[in-house]
Amino acid sequence: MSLETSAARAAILARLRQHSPAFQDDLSAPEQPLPVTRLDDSESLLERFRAEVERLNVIFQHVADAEGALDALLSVVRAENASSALLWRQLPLHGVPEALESIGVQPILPQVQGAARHDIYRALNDVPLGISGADAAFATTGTLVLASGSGQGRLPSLLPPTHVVLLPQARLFARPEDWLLAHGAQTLQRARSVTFVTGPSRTGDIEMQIILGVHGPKRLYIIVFD
Amino acid sequence: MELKANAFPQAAIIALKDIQLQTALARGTTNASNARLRAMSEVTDAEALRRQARAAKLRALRNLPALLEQFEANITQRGATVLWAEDAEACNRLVIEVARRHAVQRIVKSKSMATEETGLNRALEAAGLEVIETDLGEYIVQLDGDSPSHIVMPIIHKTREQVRDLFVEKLGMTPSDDPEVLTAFARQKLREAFLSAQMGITGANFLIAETGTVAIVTNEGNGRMCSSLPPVYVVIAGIEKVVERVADFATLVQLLPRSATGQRMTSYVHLISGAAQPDEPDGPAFMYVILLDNGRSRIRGTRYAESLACIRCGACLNVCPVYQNVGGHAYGWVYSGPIGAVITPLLKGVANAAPLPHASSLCGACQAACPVMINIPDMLLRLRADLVAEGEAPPGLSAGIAAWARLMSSPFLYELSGAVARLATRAMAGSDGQVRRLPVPLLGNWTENRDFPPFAAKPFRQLWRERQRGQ
Ligand code: SF4
Repeated sequence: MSLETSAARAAILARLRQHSPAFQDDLSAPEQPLPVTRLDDSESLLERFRAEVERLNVIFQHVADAEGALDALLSVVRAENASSALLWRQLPLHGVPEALESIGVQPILPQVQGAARHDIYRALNDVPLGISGADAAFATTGTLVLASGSGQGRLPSLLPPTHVVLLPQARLFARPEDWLLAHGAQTLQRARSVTFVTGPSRTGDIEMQIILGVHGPKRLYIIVFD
Repeated sequence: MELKANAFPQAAIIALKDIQLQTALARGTTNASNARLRAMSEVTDAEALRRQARAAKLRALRNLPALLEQFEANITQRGATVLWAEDAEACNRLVIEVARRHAVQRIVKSKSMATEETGLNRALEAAGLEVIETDLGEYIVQLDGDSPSHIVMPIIHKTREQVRDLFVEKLGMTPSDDPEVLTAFARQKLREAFLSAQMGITGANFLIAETGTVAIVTNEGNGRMCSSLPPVYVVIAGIEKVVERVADFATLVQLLPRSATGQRMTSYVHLISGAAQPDEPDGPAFMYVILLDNGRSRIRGTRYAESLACIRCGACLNVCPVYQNVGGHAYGWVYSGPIGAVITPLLKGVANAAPLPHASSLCGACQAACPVMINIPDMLLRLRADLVAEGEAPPGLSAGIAAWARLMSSPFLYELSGAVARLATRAMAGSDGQVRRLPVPLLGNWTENRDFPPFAAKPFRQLWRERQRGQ
């Protein structure tokens, strides 16, 4: 057996090139697609974002500056009784690892590429808290954008039951399409993994009753700072 | 999954008598439909957006070969391996081969209709590999040896008590029928699987050609686990999933959750454009994308090409009076509801799914709900015509049409038949005025599960004559 599929590839493409379906519709691509969500010009983006995420059971805080953000973060860590936390090296806030250490919380920067991956997962699985930044956020849907990259791993937002996101207010966009049209293509070409996070992990599979925290985080905190 | 679409009439009767199923279907479909209506009422212009979404999908279908090549070139450049599969068997074989190459034993899998279609799990197990479904509903279905009955709500047909009994019997759980407890129990079991698996498999909701990106949409986050934790990540995507630009994706990724569950955005939308880079702290070291044809390129060349625009939101199932009453299993294959009644005959041959094009009242609710405005009623009618052309018309239809033609061409016969029907049905009606059972061979089946209204006491023609005479 082999992974050589060029014959299948050629056959499929040849069949597709044989005829092109003739649809009756006007299929010209709009230069500026129609925006999906209604949004009042007078509406404050931050207030809209807050309303959307709170509807999704997110715990939202808005603080004035970086110092306030650090304080807010530490009080979340204390409230969650965490003794360690997974975090991004590349956070939008300076001094997080030092601040955690100062209150006796061990900061962990996971590094799992390579053979020992499964052992490391096991060792990290009980860490109660993950801390990350966000590359962007969308007000009308209450969404955070987490791009992977050097110093921005997937694990802090994946394994722990609680995830805290530090979001500089300037990264707030009105709608998903605003960010996707302006920065989407470029971000997708740069980052191998980009995740839109909208509220905590949830399921409605059993009798449509909504349960939070099936696989990913059960609790999501967002700290917005200027 | 074994094809049992020709048993639709029998399966439907069993479903109609299943009280538990009827309750579950009514709750599930009504909730989802109401949520969709609410979510679609908040958008700028629902009709214009549906046209925009439809145009994006149809444009991609028209340019499919070029877009697939563009997608392939872009993602290959970032270290992913793109493989092409002509059919289900080839696809399953490729997955097994990838597993062997990387010495994989345990696989975690996220919900994917394409792999239901190829029967991947069975093939993997036959090859000695362990595969674990990680979507809560799919996990339950797998444990139970059952199959999903809705594209979006796989266990819409199961009650919490059934889930409890299953977990107690198969996994030794301390009994509880609280969904919170059941979910927490499954979380712990599945976490174990995520941490130890060597391969993750997901489907794809969209492939973006412009950037070479795979988009997967989930609420539970299991798709993200499968695509982030194991060292090997395999995507299986139908070739019709490709869209041209990020801008097209921007519209579609918002109409999908609004139509499916009424959410403005699902909890997670994961966009993966290749295996992890060496300087990243985590992520898969290898990524494969299998592009599956399995009949799609053939369908694209027919007048049913539009059916390939489906984004699998499930809205047409939720509004369909037939689905609402019989549920997904009666359709006898992976795809159910109105779109299933179109896709199953197209993929498996119309003679092998002959009842499905008739499992519709052609009320048009499906098309009205569809975010990409697929003309399902029209395709069902064409499939019925194809069935007649293949000599597969339902029994009695041809004889019935001949008799009807004679009746309609003779005013006397027409009036006489009306008078007979009027008297007969009044005589048969119960105290509530409904006819419980018609003693006519063909129509007898029809009243097995429904009532028949008696004919009006005075026919329209008589009322009209009386009116003309000033009575
Ligand atoms: S046919 Fe339309 S409504 Fe039905 S599942 Fe597909 S996209 Fe949704």
